[in-house]
Parts: sequence; C-alpha cells; structure tokens
Amino acid sequence: MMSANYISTLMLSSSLRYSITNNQSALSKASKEATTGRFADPGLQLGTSTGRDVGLRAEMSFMDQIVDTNELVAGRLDMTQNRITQLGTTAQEFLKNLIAARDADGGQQILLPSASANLQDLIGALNVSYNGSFLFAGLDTQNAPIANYTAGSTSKNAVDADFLATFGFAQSSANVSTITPAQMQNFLNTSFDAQFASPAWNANWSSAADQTLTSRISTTEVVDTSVSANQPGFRKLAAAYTMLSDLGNSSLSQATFQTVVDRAISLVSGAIYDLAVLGGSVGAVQQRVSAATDKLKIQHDILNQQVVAMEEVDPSEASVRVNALQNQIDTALALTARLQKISLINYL
Amino acid sequence: MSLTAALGSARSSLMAAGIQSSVISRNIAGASELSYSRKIAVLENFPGNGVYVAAIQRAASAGLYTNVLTATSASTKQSVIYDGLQKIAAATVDDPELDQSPTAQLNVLKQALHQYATAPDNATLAQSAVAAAKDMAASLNQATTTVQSVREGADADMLTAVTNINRLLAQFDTVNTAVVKGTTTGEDVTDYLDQRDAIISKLSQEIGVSVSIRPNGDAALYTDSGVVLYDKSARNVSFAPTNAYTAGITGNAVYIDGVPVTGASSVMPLKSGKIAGLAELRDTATVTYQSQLDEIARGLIDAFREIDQSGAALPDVPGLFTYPGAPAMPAAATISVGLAGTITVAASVDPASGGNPNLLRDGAISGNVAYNYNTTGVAGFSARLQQLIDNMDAPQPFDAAAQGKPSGSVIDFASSSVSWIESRRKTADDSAQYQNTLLDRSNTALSNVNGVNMDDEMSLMLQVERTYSASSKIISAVDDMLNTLLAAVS
Repeated sequence: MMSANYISTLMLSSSLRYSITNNQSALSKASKEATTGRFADPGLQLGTSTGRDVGLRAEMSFMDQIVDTNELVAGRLDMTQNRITQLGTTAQEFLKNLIAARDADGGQQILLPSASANLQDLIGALNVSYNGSFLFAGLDTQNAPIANYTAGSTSKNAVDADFLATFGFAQSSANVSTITPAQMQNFLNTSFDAQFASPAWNANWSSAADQTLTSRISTTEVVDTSVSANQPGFRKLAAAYTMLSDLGNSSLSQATFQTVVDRAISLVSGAIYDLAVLGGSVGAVQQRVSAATDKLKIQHDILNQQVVAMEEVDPSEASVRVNALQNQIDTALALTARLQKISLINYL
Repeated sequence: MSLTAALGSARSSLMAAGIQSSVISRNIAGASELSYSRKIAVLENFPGNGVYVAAIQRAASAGLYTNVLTATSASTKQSVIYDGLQKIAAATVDDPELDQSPTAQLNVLKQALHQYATAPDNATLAQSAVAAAKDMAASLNQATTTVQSVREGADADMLTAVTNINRLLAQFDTVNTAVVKGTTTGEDVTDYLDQRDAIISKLSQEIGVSVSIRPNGDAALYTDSGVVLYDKSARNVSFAPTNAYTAGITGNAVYIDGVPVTGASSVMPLKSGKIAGLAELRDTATVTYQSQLDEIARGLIDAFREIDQSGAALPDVPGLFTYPGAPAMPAAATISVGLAGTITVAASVDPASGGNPNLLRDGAISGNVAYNYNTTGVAGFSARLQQLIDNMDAPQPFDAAAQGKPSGSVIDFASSSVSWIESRRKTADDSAQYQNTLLDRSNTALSNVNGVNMDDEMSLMLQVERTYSASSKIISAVDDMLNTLLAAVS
C-alpha cells in the first residue's frame, strides 16, 4: 500500500493549514511595508548593515543639530558685524567733524557734545548682549565688558588722576588754558596713551577676556565666533572720544586744542582702518558659517538618501505582494473547505 | 469432509475480517495524530483451511524519522536563540528610526554637548547635557539588566527542559520495557512503538537525540554528541539552576550521568535541541553582547576622563562618567566585566544630587582643582566641551574579545555592536526558517509514508465487509446443505 502517490489524510488537511499561517504572517509584514514604505523589521532585514544604518542616522541628526546651532552662531555674528559697522560709520562722521572743527572758531564747543555722545555709544555698543551673553566680552560672557565713563567710574578716576599728576590741576580748572601744545603732546603720548594699553585698559576700562568664543560650525571646523572689546580699534576710538570730551578742551588754547585734535584724527582714522579689518574678518567667519551650513544640508540630503535606500521597500511592490498573499490565503481557505467535502464517507 | 472444510475456511475468513476491521478502526482513530503510524494486518493462507492474520505491521521509515528528529532539534535550537536575541535587540536597538540604539544615545549626548558648547554660559543647556549623559548611563544600565534577565530566563528554561527530559526518559523506560517484553513473546507491540517514537520526538525538542534499535526491539538513546541518555535504564540528567544573574556569573552546566554536556568544560557538548540553544544564548551570545556594552561604557569613561592640568603629572581620572572603581581609570582596551551596569554620571555634576552642571564645561568633576580646565573661570569657555566632542569621535582601542570594532570611536564601536547583534539575530532567524521548512518537509514525507488515508481505509473496510458477508453467506449455504442432507437422512 506504500507508494509514491500515497498521501495521509492528516497531511492533506494540514499542508494547507501551514500555508495559511505562513501566508498570514507574511501578509502582516507585507501590509506594514506597503503602508510605511520601510522594512517591517529593518534590523532583521539589514543584519550586519544595521550598524551602518544607525551610524548614518546618528551623523544625520548631528548635522541637523549643527545646522540649528549655526543659526545661533550666525545671529551672534550678524549682531557683532552690525555693531562694528555702526561704530565705523559713527567714527567716519566724527572724523569729518574733527577735520572741519580743527581750524574753526569754537571748534571745542562743536566737538564736545558729539565726542561724549560717541563715547557713550561706543560703550553701549560694546556692552551689547545677545541670547544672554555679552558679545564683546570674549570668553567672560556673563559680565558687561566695558565700565561706564562717568564720575566715580574707574576709567574716569584713572584719567582724572593722570591729568592731575601731570599738570597739577583738574580738567575743570581755569589753569587748563596754560597748558602748552608740547606739554599736552607729552601727556597724550605717555600717561594718557598708557590708559588705553594693557594693563591699565584691562584694569580700568575693560573686563573682557582676550580669548573669544569658539564654535563648531561643521562636524570638523571650530572657528572663533566673537570679537573681544580689547581689539585695538575699540581702544583707539575710546581714546579719541575721551580726549575730546574730558580733557578740559573748552578752555584749551587754540594751539593746544589743535594738538589734541591732530592726535584724535590719527587715532580715529587708525580705528576706522582697524574696524574695517575686524569687520572683514567677522564677515569671513559669517561666510564660513553659511558655507558650512549649506554644505551640511547637502551632506544631510546625501546621508538621508543612503538611509532611505537601505531601509526602503518599494511600496507598490509591497502592495502587489499584499494582493498576491490575499489571493493565496483565499484560495487556501476555499480549498480547505472543498477538501473537507471530498471524502469517501459522503458517498457510502 | 469438504463441507466442514468450507465451513472452516469461512470461519477463518470471518475471524480475519474481524481483526482487519479492528485494525482499520484503529487506523481511523489515529488518523489525525502525527505520531500514529498506520497498522497493516498481514493475511496468510492456512493451506487448505482459509486465511489467518499472521502479524500486524507498522508502516514506518527509519530514515525519514531520523530526519524529523534532526530537523526538530535544529529548529528548536535556532528558535530559542532567535527569541533570546530578539528580546535583547528589541530592548537595545529596536527600529533604527526610533533612535534607541547605543549609537543613537551616544549621538544624543554628543548633540547636547555641542549645543552646550555653542553657548557655554547657558545653564539650561548645561543641565540638558547632564540629563543626556544620565540617559546614556541609564540606557547602558538598562541594557545590562535586559541582557542579564535574558540569561536568567534561559537558565530557568534549561531547568524546565531538564525536568522534562527526565520525565520523558522515565516514560520511555516503561514503554521500552513493554516493547522488549512484547517482542519476545510475539505480541502486537505496534502501539507501544508508536508511543515510544512519540516520546523520542518530544525528547528531540529538548535535546539532540539519536536512536539505535537492537534486534529484540530494545532502543538505546544517545545525545547528538554521543553521550548515553538511555541504555537499558534511563541516565540521570541534572542541572543546578542559578536564580539571579549579573555580568560575570557563569551558569552551571547540564550533566548527563555526571558528564557535562554544555559549557566550556564539556568535551561532548550538545549540538542541537532546546538545551543547546539555551546554553549558547546564556553562555556565549549574551556574554559577548554584555562585554560589548561594557566596552561602550569603558569607552565613554575613557572619552570623558580628566587629565591633570596643573603640570603635577597626576594620573587621569574618570570625569562625567564614573563607576565604583573611581578614581582609578578602568584598564585600557580591556573588558571590565559588568561596567555597563555600574556606570553613572558623577554626582558632582548632577543637579539632582546637588551637583553643579557647569563642571562639565570647567572640568575638575573629580573634585581636585588640579583637573580644572577653565582656570580663569570664564563663562564662555568651550574648549573643554569641544575636546569632549572630539574625544567621542576620536579612535580608541577596544578589546578584541568583545567582537566589535577593535579600533574606532566609541560611537563606531557602538554601531559595530548593533551590527553584531542584528547579524546574529538574522542568522538565527534564517537558519530557524530553513530548519522549519526542512521539518515541515520531513514531517510531510514521513506522514505520507506512515500516515493514514481515510478514503483508503474506508475502501479497505468495504472490501472487508464484502468478504465478511460472502463468508457469512457461505456459512448459511453450507448450513442449508447440511440441513438438506440431514433431512434426507432422517
């Protein structure tokens, strides 16, 4: 009775049962893949490549993060650039006034208000804060870098003391008119100049650190992204504005006043040049940040394509598979029902 | 007297038909049972005196049956390994899209550091960087718990399997004795043989088994590695369970008659069956994965270590990530067993424990000012944070025994660990599927040899019925004839 054609009744019914359960589990996978367009179980499908997949995803999200933080960095740089440009413009206006006022009668009176306003403006600009940190403070971002120049402030006290030590009277004294151009020249070159150089500048004027903020703008590039208030351009402007606002200029003799103005002209034009250089270097960093951001976006797209390619299932292929499986299951169920009817018992 | 002979033949035919129909009804009763093999009543001629049932045979195929046993053992082993790895992979990797893997967690930490480095004066970002570090440590701790609980589960399953084997061997003993006795006395032992085969089939799920049959019907059982399981009497299979697992604990071996059949000390290790799968899962796969987690933890501690800044040449100390062995650094490029379970974020940085998250930026997390990187104490200091990010990307050596990338960044190593577990899972799944298909095929082939076809049995039944009525008819015809004869005589 044993022959190649023999089949047991148990197998006749259970072979279809196996195929139904197998197809049903395949159907649940296929329908998930058809709806999501991704493997139902990417880890199982990718095996060894899963590490590459998670690695690419990690890199991708780090790039996203850098693109985000680059916006903050760019904002900081924009603000910095904006302030430097403003200070440059103010300085140029002031330079015109200086040249005009040098030989004019009452030049002192013309220059005094704008010099003292510009000094306040400079201090205000350098003390600007962005997103909770002082932009020009170098690394010491939690402290306003420049002290105010008002009666009693360290910077004013130091200038007053130097003046008194050199000439023997205060700026407000009537004796100011007796200062000769040579004496003034000497004062400006020595003790007054020293006020705007280290270490006096750092003690009396600025608490900013020389080191500036550094930021990572791409996966590998770390660049300086702030400007310290200790830059020479700012010091020169501070010196020029101070000498024209607080050296008793209104009472100086015309010749002595001209000495002061000449010195201020050289300082301000030096400062304009320095600020232009500074603005240029900030601009270069801005350029690098935006280039890095663009590059990151492109890289992100490339990585994204790779990730998608690894995990992707053609949705139309998957839905074809769903249909085919449905048909198979239908057929298997129909056959099961019919096979039940085919039995000799029904004919006895 | 030939009328009496006709009566005798008819009578023997009735007897044979009775036995045949009883065999048919046994076959029909067993039709839906996989372990049932079809019985055949063998008819032989009594010369001149009809037929008799000489024996009841079983339709069986030893070759196909061995195939089924092998496929069952192999498929059980692979399914067990797959299930264990699946649990671990689901808890530690999951869908790559969900960013649950150690790689993704490390990257989250790197991102938090980067964000903090962009605005080092921002206390909120400092806190979120520390929070990311705590998540990282917690996920390593959790992964360790998962891996160890899988080992516990495997150990418990081994105990169940061993209990099961001992029970089955005891049953086997009873049935085998009945077979031997029946074979010697010439009884019908086919049902016992079926029962014995069913027991061996169940055994083959737990342990790879091979059978050898002796002429008197006695069967001896060996494991697939050649250790005697049953020969005249059942051997004792023993196993001492370990209830709680931590990394570094080695589970006990399974012994058969005092011979270890799993574990490193085994000279005849089991090759297939549930016990072999569980042993591989408990003693090899999970241990390797645990050592990968430990290496990730060690790589992290290493990447965040603090170096003496005072010039006093003090030794390096653990920084943000620390462990019970601090202030000593864990040995480089060597697996520190169980480190992933004990790694924590230093309390001095953790705001929840009263720490200062800014130490992440400044250094000296270990408490010694010699390790302070930010000597001027300025708020915009980001060099240390940048250094930490670079350290996370910097290649470092890993213990080759962990089977991950031997040299690479800690993130690369974590990716290679993801690859390792997923490829193991894929392999186990592939071979489980293959073995299942093989098992299906072998079962089908075997069942088509020894299974019951109802239609066939029914048509046989018709045949027997016809024979029965014809024989009865003969008896009544002979009776009539005898009656006629007797009436004539009287």
